[in-house]
Amino acid sequence: MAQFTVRLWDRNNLPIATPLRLRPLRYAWADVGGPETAEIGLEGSPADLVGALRWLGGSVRIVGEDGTPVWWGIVSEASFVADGMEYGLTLEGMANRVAVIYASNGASAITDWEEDTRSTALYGNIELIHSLGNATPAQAEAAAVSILTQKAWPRRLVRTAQGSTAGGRLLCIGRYSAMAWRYYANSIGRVAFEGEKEGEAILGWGFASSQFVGFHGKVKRICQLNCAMTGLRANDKIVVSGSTSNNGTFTVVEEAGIDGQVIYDGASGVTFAVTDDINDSNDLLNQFTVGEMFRVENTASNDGFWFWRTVGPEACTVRPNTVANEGAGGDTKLTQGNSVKVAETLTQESPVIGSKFVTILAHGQKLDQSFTVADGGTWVVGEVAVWVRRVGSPGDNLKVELCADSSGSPGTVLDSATVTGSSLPTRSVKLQVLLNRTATLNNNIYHLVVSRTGAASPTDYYLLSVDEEAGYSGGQLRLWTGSAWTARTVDADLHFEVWGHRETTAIIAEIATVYIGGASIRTAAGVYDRMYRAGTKTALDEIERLLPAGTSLGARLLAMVSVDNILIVEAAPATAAARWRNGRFTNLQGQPLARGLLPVGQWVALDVPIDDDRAPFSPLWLARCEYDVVGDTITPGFAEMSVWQVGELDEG
Amino acid sequence: MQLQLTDGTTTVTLSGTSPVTGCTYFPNTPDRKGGVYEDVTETAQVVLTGTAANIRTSVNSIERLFELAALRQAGGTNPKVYVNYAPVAETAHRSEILEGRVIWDTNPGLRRLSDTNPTVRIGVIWRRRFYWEGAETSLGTATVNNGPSGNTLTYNSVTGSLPAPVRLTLTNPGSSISTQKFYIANDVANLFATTDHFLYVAGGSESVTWSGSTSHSNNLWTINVPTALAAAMRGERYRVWAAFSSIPDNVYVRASVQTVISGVPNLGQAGGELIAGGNNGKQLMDLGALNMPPSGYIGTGAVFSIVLSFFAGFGGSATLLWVMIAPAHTTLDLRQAGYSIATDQAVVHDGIEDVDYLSLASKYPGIERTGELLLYPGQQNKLRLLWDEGNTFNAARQLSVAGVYRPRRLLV
Repeated sequence: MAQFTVRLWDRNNLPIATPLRLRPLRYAWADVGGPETAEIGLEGSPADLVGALRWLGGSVRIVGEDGTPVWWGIVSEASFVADGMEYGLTLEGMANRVAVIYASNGASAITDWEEDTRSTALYGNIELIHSLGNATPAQAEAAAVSILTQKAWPRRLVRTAQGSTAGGRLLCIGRYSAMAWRYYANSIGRVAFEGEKEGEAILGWGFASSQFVGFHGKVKRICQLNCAMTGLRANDKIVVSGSTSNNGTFTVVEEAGIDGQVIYDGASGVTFAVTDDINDSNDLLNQFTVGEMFRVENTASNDGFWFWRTVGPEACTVRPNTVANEGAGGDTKLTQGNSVKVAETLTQESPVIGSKFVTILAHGQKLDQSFTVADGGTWVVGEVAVWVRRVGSPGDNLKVELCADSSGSPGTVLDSATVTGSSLPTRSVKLQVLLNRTATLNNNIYHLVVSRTGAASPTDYYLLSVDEEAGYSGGQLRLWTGSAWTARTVDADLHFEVWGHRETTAIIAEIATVYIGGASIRTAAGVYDRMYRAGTKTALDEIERLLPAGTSLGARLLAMVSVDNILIVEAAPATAAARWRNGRFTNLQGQPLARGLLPVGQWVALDVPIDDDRAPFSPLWLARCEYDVVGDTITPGFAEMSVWQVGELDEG
Repeated sequence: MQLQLTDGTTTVTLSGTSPVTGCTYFPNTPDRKGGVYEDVTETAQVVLTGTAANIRTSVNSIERLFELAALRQAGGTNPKVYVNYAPVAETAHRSEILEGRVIWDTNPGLRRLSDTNPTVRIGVIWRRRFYWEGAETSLGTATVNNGPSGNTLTYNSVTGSLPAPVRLTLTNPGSSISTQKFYIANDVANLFATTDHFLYVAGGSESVTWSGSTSHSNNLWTINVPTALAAAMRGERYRVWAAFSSIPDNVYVRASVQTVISGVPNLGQAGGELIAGGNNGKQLMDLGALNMPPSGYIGTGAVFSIVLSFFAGFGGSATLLWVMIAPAHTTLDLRQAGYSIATDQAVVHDGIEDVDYLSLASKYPGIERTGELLLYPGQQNKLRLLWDEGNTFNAARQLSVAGVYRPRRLLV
């Protein structure tokens, strides 16, 4: 049997001296994590064997016969045999820091950590977040205390001894899998606001140079013959320009009641009488609406724009009082548009074809939501999200810009991206927009500006979800009038998220540095992920979610804990580095590797008489391997993968 | 013949002291299976004459020693129990007893204790180690230097027939030093001449500078193994140590064996990595074991190189002093936490008693050990020593080393 040595250190990294004889029995490696499990036999007096139970959480290293470390990790279980029974302690199932996640009033919440400080001092932090379901805060806190009481100390093992009548054993795990004991949280890299009350802010509504805009002074309605006023909502503000007497800003107090034009063509029964009467012998005038503007065409004396004062089937009155007497004509045409009512006073004003061009733009040609970064970090924005929907069929793009602050307004554009407007649904959804990672934020105020790349439209525009309780305290929502930023009539805040992104390998490095001791990234992934972590997943879960993404070039990433307790992250090799021959690993030239040295995470060439240029069988990927020290036997675990994949590799 | 059982305090002489009147014993030869010698079980036939009480007292003394032997094997810390044997009048050899028992003779006439002054015969059966150890033998005291100017101890007069452990007392003859790691390798086959085990960069600078970053695909130091040495190496594993006069923190150091043909390197085998700096790294680095040459024995004309490389995510420079190699399977590593060793204080590796300690003003059990150092009889036994002082290495340090061993034999 090979001569192996076992070295032990306690949690303070002080060597453990023991009269016990420590004999490695078996150990295993995995291609992700490196040293995986080990079992070490103990021989000595019963009194000394009992002392081994105090080694839980300590470090262990198995050194091969030529002085090369062959396995390293942590003691997770210790036991000894006495009177046919095995007695032991294990860290498995233990938790000396406990929090409870629960649902309260439909929202997820988590308690503070409950900790047994004596246990954490002895064994380090072993954490558990228990999911309780619906509960009150008091219930959740009580549950955390209760679970901590049950789990704070190593679990006792008492079972019938199997296969041995004396001695003891240590079960050890690699530091990689021990990351399952800790939860990884990172509060840096996320600014988000989701209010409770849904509202919508209009974006990019308006029209330019319309000849069909009229102003009904008596009823404070701004009218448009093509029904362009559809889409404006109460409290929206609009800016009118190009009119004779009504340029300015107005607040909508009543939405348009009519969606489409009302056209009465071939109105053969319609007659006109001074000074404000229009009658219809066919009794069809009640299709029109009081207060709306309409146009008369194809008459001898009354062509032009009018506003309904009263409406009845056979008789109506209109404004202004300039109707001339005129009998029925065969092709008289009446066309009615729609209007919104505004709060401000209007001067009666009719369209003048060919000489008056009115432009109306709603506040909200751009939206600016300022936000505050206060997490103390410096991070690169990789992603923003807003809740948005389209109205109509915008032919332009929605644009999202991340801007520096300039005296309270958006300043330098730090990053931006666009989304095709027609790709947006007509029902509000969360729109996640990936940015170019050119904006680096730190504790400061920034602006998220949403705009459209094309011209304003009364039919094809966007609506963004807002919280009309304005519950976000880190900034405010402002609307671009076309010439200035202004507050929304009803104060609100955009529902938004801003996420910092980091390269996945940088995140892995941060996790490994905290929970293993260090990291060395040999291959940068070129793949990015959100850096913020709520802390509800273990460090191991996080790394095992990040590693499979590999690199941007499609390479597989491996992570192995080195003997110096550094997590080495690098792309999987492309060439074989060892050979499997007669139940032994050798180097490629055929010289045996040191006994117990397992080339896991490597391509291993096979000495087997299988060769086919189209689908070569060798090399194979050694994904896992176990070494039985006592029997000096190796159990390789070659990955099951297509020979076609293997065929792309070079044996050396 | 001398035959005794003893734990150093209680000794029972089976070869003559009253009430023993006779003894028949000759050692068995150990069996060997799979290259491993097996423990030896054998019997001494002992004749005792005296009062029943005296006989019983002697038998009980033997049984007590066997009980202590068993207790020791079960992990007890009591002294070892030995059988001491010499076929003639000479210094006896000893062999550790693992367990034993005493049986009465099957002939009723030789176990009649009820007689007055009876003569009885007992069988004393024990299981012992497969080897005998001779008396402690001094190997002398010599001064070694921590590097190429003389780090070799030559023990070429080791007797016996089996490899034997050694007690080395590493005494500091100079001012206080805070040693940490000691590496002691035995070039049993005398493969290397006086300083052949130190290899240097050939045709290149020992100082290297890299900018930006470096990886293991960048051969920073290529150390050609001398032709004569390469021809003699047979593919065994050799430990590789590298000494730097300067090396940055947080670089990962790796040794590999490469063949360079027409300037094109071809990786044969790579070792693991060690990180330099912080609490882990140091100027003297143990870079593991590699097969040299990686192909096995190819005789004269063999050409290969030892290559050192770094992985570092930053630029820097480092200066290599030399690389030392030694057969890997005969290497002992000692490690102490860095306690100051004053003049005439020592680090002791006692392979004979299987203990290690610091011999300062008192003895402190503060040494960790991995590996095993054996002296081979009839061989040159060239011991190469290196030691560091935490993160630093000082080639000017010296140690005065005293060696003691017990020759081991299968038969005496």
